[in-house]
Amino acid sequence: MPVRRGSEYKEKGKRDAKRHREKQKQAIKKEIRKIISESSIITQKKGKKVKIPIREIVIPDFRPGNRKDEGENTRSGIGQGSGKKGAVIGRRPGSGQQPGKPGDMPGEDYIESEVDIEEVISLMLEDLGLPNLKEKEDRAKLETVTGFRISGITRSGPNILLEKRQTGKRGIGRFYAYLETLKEETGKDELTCYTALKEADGILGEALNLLEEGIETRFSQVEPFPIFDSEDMRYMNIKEEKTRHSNAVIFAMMDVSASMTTDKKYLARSMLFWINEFLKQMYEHVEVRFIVHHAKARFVDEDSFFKTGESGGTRCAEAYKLARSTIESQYPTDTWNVYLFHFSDGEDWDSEATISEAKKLIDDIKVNMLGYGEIRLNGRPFSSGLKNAFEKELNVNSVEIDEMDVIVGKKEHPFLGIVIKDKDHILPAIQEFLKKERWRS
Amino acid sequence: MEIMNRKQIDRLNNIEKEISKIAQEMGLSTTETEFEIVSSRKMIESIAYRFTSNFSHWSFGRDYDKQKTLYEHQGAGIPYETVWNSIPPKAFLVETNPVILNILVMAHVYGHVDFNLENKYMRSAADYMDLAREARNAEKRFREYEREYGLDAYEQTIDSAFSVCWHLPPDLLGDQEDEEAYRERLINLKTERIRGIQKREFHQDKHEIEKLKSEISKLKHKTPPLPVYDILRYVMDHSPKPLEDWQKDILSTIREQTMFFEFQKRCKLLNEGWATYVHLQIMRRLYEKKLITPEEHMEFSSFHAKVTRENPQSLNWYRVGLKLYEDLIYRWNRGMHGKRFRETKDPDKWTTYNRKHNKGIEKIFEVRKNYTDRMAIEEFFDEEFIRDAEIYLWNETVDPQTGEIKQFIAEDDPVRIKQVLKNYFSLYGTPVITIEDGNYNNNRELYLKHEFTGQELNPMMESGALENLYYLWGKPIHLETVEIDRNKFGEPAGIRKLLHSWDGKKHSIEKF
Repeated sequence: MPVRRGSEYKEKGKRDAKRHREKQKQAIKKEIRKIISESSIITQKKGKKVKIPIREIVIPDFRPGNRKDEGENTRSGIGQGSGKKGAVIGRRPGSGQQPGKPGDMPGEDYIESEVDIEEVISLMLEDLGLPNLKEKEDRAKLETVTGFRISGITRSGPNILLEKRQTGKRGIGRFYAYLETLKEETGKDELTCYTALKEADGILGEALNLLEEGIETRFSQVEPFPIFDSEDMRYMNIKEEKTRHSNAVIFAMMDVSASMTTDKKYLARSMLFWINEFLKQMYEHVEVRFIVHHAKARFVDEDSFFKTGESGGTRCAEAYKLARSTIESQYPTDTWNVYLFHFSDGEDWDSEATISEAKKLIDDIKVNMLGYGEIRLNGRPFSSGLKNAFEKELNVNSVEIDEMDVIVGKKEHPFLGIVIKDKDHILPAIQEFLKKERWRS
Repeated sequence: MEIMNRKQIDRLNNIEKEISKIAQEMGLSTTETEFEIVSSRKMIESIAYRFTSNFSHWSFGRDYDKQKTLYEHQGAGIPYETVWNSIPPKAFLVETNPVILNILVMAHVYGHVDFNLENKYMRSAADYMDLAREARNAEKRFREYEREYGLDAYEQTIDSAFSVCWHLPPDLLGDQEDEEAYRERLINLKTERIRGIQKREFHQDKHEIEKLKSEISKLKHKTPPLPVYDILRYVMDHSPKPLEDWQKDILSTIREQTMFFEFQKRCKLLNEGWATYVHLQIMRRLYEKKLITPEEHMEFSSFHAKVTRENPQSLNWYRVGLKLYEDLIYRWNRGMHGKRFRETKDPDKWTTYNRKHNKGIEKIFEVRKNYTDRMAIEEFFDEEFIRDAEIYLWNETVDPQTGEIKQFIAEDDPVRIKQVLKNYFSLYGTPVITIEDGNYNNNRELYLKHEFTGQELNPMMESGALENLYYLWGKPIHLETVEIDRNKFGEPAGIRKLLHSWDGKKHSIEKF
């Protein structure tokens, strides 16, 4: 008979598909600096997935193209339909395009992949964490993931987590389903059908062929054996095991005065957005308080922190003061780890007051870290900028890391200042701020 | 769990017998064909891996993912047909497809089977008919290579082979002579010519003799003696890297598979058009014979419409191929061809032109027997046809407002479209690149030359391809190509020669 059941083939695609996705991830990693500097990520609605258009990996070959379009990789082709010269027939996302705006017409070599913020973070921030974290008396809240435990069953997973009992049960279920099908379709008795299924190693099509050719019953009773198909596989689900640490609170402070232009604010927000997202993922129950300041400082909620635009003069000391009084009343440093991250453009009406507040935070209150990022676009130097004042007045060393000016305090003086000049500095600056090993002697 | 029941399989078998009968009545060649009922997963896999089974590589996984996504999005029914031109021919039916869709696939496959048996070009691909089995064996060998030499080397070798595998000899059927035999033949030819000149009593052109002698002495050392199109084969035989045996096996397997697909590629339009034409006839007959119900016939019509829908971004072979045969039937039935017809310039008269030749069916059988796509396009894609089939050329440009890439119709003039189609199909999309010198700089560097046929090369892809080729060759690679100079209106104003080199560390581009 020319039309017959095929013998089932071993599944191949999955493994190679996984390999392709790994290659895509490596490609994302290469572009991570660009991805995290995308503005649409930090202005998006909460809880929404970040969509990053990812090209599928293409093997390069000699193909027609346009030498002028280096990088954009525009194509041409033949198509059909009504329409005159100039009519638009489709769109796809360009490489310079912001994520979150997928084209409505995916091109041939284009796959729109969704990537979680978590995934981006785990790709960019390996081996990072809160520096100078200390054991405090109350170890109630702060948790990190330190291991895994089994919890429940899922339909996919690595072989090592195969749940043998559940999978076996389904395999036996399939055995009986096949046996019934064989009986029904051939009208032969159970033992004959069983013999055929056994001979065919559980492959239905082959068992049918055997029965058609005629087969002798070789067994006196049915001994069911499991027959597996990919959809029968069950795997153990694993959950993270957590370790508790002492409490931690983060003060995210941002200058929103008139001199902070949209571009500067955008850099400051990007930095704080990623630091915040990272800490939320790394530590459960870490508290983050948001302060904006111009000549005055006030607390805002997370949403407005990443959105507000204000104007006015600048007194950085106001933000430090507000943070200090809050620490004293709500987050005493004998039970809390306290971190401050402050971003400004370095213009400060009263840098002396700021330095004195910074000293109080570091030396008197003994916060775990004061991080300061100075946003200077176009490399414009402020000779009187806050960073220069910090450099002069605090006990710090000046170094250059990844083309950024960095000032670092000693262990007993946990201050870190970085000058951020453009988008490309976002990732290395975050990596400096969150270097877990810093101040560990 | 979905298992097609015996009754349905019996019905498919009965209908298959009927289809075979109808095909024979139509004058088609038939042969015992195996239809295997498989899961959708297996069908998708075989599309991604090109064979029922093939070696492992991430690019197949990528295509598997893509096909799976497409399948999941389009919902019920997988209207794909895969048929392998083997002995006996083999095709897949998807167990979860509606019965009528499987009947349609069988009818369609009968069209392919006839085409593959009858078309001159496909018949000569018979050497490659065992390739499906070969692919299964390759899978086993390659698995060993991956284990033995590591994933990186394994993937790099395959990636690199895929980079240049489509650069095959223009004439797939020509003898593939051994380089040394070829060199000897060339030298003998030139020696003969010298003898010929020396035999003359007068006009012994000393200068000509010297020239021939110096050509001979160069030929003795030059590799390749004449430019070579078949890049993989040359690399396999001459790489100074040197390649290991397992790598040569990979290169040779990929080259063989590509050859097989190249044959199919060169008749794709005619083959798919033919199968579509055939399935329309067979389905109509099945309906007349009441072997399919009116509801099923309706369902078939909607699948057929889907398959032959116009595609804004690429040529739908099913649609345009079918249209070509229909057009030929119409014109040859009415005698609308030849000198006398062409002299009837008034288009108004065309609609009533009818010399009642009734040679339409005869003509399409002839075309399916003797033509390749390139021949068919050259001969039958005239202005009217291109306009009727609504074929256009499109380009992409970056939309400055959104940063998106916008696709727009760039050309709707049939005369210029035909020119582009002819160019495209003469090479089936692969730019002509030859190996000029395998011992460039006297350092066994590889010198390639891109023959300009109107289009530049994509520079990003070009760089990657050179790097991949370097992996196989192990010495610097040079590519001579061109750049189009444009005037201030962006119009081509001339071409300029470029030499793009990759020495394993950096790219350099020299302009002339």
